[in-house]
Amino acid sequence: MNLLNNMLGKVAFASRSLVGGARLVRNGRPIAGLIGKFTASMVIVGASSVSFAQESKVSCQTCHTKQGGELGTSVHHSLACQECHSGEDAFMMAKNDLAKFLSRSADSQLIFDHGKSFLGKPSRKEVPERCGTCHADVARMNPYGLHTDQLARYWTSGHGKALRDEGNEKVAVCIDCHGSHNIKTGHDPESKTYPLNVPDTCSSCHADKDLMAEAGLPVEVVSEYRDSVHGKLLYEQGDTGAPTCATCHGNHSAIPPGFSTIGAVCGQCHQHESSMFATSIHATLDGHKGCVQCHGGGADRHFHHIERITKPPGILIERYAHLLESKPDPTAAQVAEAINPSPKQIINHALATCMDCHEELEDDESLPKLFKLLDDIAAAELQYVETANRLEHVGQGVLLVENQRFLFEAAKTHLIALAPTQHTLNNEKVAEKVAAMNDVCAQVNGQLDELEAGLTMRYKLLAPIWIFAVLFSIAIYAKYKQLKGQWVKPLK
Amino acid sequence: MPSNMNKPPSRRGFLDWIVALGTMITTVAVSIPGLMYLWPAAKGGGDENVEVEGASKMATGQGKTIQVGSQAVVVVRHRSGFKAFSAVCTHLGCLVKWDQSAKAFLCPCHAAIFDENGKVVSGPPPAPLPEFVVKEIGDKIFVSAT
Amino acid sequence: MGLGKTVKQFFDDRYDTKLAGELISKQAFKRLPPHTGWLHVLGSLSLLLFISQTITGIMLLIYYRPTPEAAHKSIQFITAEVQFGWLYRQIHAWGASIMILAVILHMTRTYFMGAYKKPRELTWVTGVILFILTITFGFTGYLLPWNQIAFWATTVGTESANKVPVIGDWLQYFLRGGDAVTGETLSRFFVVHVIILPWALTGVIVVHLFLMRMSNLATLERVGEEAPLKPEHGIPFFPVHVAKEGVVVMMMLAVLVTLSVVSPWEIGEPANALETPPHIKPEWYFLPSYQLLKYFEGPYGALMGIIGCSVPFVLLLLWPFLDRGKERHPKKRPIAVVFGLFGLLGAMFLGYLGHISETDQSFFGKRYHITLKGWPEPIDDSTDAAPPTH
Repeated sequence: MNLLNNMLGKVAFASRSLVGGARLVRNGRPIAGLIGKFTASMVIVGASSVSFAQESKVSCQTCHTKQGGELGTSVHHSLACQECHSGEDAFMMAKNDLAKFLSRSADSQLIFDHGKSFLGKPSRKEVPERCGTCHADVARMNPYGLHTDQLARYWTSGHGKALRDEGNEKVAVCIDCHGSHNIKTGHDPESKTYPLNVPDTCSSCHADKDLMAEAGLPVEVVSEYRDSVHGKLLYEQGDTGAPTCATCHGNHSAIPPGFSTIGAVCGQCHQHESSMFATSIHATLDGHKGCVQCHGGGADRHFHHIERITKPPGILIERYAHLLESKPDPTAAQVAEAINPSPKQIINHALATCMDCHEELEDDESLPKLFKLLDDIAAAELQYVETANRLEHVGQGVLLVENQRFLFEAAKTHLIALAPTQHTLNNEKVAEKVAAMNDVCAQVNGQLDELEAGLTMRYKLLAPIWIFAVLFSIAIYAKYKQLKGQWVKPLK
Repeated sequence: MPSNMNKPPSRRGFLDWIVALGTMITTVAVSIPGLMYLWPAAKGGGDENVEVEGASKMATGQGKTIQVGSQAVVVVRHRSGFKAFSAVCTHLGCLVKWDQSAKAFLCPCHAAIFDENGKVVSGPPPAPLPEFVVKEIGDKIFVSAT
Repeated sequence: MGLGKTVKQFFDDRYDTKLAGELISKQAFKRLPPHTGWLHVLGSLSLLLFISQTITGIMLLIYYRPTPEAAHKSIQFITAEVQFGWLYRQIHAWGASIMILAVILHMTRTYFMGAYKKPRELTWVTGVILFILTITFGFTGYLLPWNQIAFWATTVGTESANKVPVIGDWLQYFLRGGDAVTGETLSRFFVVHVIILPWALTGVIVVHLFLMRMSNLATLERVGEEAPLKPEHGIPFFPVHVAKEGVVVMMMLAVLVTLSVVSPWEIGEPANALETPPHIKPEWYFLPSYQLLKYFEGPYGALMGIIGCSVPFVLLLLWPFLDRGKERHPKKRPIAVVFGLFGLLGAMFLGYLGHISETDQSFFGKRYHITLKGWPEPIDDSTDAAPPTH
């Protein structure tokens, strides 16, 4: 066996460079036609034209060309067919021996005897355990650094439970997401589990109307995801680090997080927001939907349309500059509406659900507190964009504002930090951050005032300069007249 | 000689004093800004090597934020010498701080952590912090972008 | 013996100080024609501006760095950090424009007063050379701040060089110091601007002044019939004419400082070879040629354009030899005056068209878009009212 493994390794190595061609040539030939012209290929691997294979040998792939070809380019290319399907050990046999295993069925189909131990194609129900024979085997997975808990996790998933408890074979099993013979690693862009392909992989079932109707699940979740902030990150910016379906739901243990644990799920990336929210009054309440209460796009959108509410500083500045083109002197409310209308939209959207707990919202002190918090942030944003705009304008003229730009970076830091801070729903903490940002803006504005005062000073100096120049010129002119009288004799 | 034909009077009138005074004021007014212009300005023009002030007094493991051009740069003294990284977080541009006890750069905005070599340890930043060039000349430390 | 006497004795012992003194005082007290008026200060104004440019130029050189990496930064540094740096930069930038204006006005005065006629033809020719050198000064100096406008104006400006027949490509390659405007171009323009042109201009100015002094200022009398200047009626250069110049100096300083404060030249964005800003236009003194070039199209258009732009300069150089009439007074030579006015107004009109081309302008209450070639096209106000959507 050792010797065999050793050999397999070599073949696998050789096959990598040969895959493409081998697959094309071998695809879809009828078995009967092939028997006569066996080119011996290695049993186990997709690459058929391995040089040391002997002409007189036949293998599984001789008949199962498609599967063999796929296997050869898959992550499992070094595995033998028997490792999953079992069957006759002497799978590589001399051409002459082939006849011993062949027989004709009644309707004269050629039948190949795979041996007593042959398991054949596993049923969907059998698939998880079949994969688990290796993937749940710690010793076997150890060299590859792979986890071995996928099977266990799978049985905890919505898919796994339905399969085991209800015998529902329509749920996803390993091969639906990973493929069967053509399994690739998640880093391979062709893999179904490559981040950019994950939403497609999931939507092959979760966007299927009939299937979802049967399961009683919404069919729009993946399309909502595509429009969400994460989906845009993934598709528009091609950021493979962006969360996909599996990032939040788990992959093998795929199950929707409950609203009570959603903070933990989001907090895996949004640590600051999550820890800040944990200190807020809403954090421990039942019936609260956690992050998606505000960020999920609402119940009608199945909470999958995850949106950001605070806008990045760059966008605020851009929108403000755009607003100024049509309204040179906007009010604070107009600015807030133009640069960041989302907080208000969220309030309007969420107010209905708020009333589930805040029964008498009008008399409740929470609402004014919340408005105060949002107003504070809006004021900070206004201050920020105004200062940024001024900095930009002053810098375009003759003054150099490099130092002020440098100073202003700190304001940006404070403003960005406001976004996590507001999750505390703590007016004092937000006010603190706002004050810190206002401080910086005040400093920047103070320095700009000074610079501009220098410019005004130049203007003011012009007056004495001109008074002196005119008076002195008159004096010189008088002197000129005097000298002319002394030196020049008039013509007539 | 022409001047012999029409000798100007030697008496100095009021006008002459005005003209002389005016000339003097003009000369002074023109030369003082000139001399001030020539006096070396506080910082070198376009000079990209910024000295880290008080570098020799920094303890090992200590960090300091300085300005290079218009960029914030964190200089950290390691056992092996000084290292400087852009303080601008590659995520959204907040300014990171050096945490001496954690030996890491922390971003206050989204809790990102960069290790002492500027590499992302955790958090959302897509790229490591750009490194700045540190030159040690005598006991002085200079930082520049290139 | 006083110190003064000792020094005088030192020179008397070694040189013919008497002769030197006579030469100097002859020039200093030289009598100018009695009608020498305010229009005659334009020449010395040009010279004064050249001196101002030299002084401010040397001062800027102290902090300026002629490399693509540092040039723009050093100008920023001069403007923002150096005491009064802004003032010297502004005076230098404005002085350049004013100097070209002064030279043009000086030439105009000379033309209409017929002062270029015999025996002063060569004074005129050297004057035209000074004019050409001065605008070359402007062209080379414009690039030095290495900002976007400078970079692209120079790119466009040197682009037309390859339209010159036969040697065009070579000429452009030579001017740019490569295929495109780069640090090499900056180096070249810098050397031309601060070494070659100042000395060339100084040399030609010396010849120009020497010739001017040899034949004195022209009067309006007919060629060959000038009455000899009676010294007692003449205006002595020193101290009388110099006093007049004093007024000019004061006014010039005040105007330069005012322009520097009221309408400062912006530093602009640093040059970026990968991004062309819209509507690149040259400085005002190149606008007539810039606009004229646009009207020459077709296979020989470029060549015709180059010729079209060179003709005025060739005409200027040869003018004293073409116009050999005896009259100087403008009223007595209507053809030359009309021709001159036509040329001057034509250049101003072309320059104006160049200035407003590719912009929107209002005439008599209606909006027009001015095309590249300067044709106005009415704008339908109803279509462009909608603001851009974000």
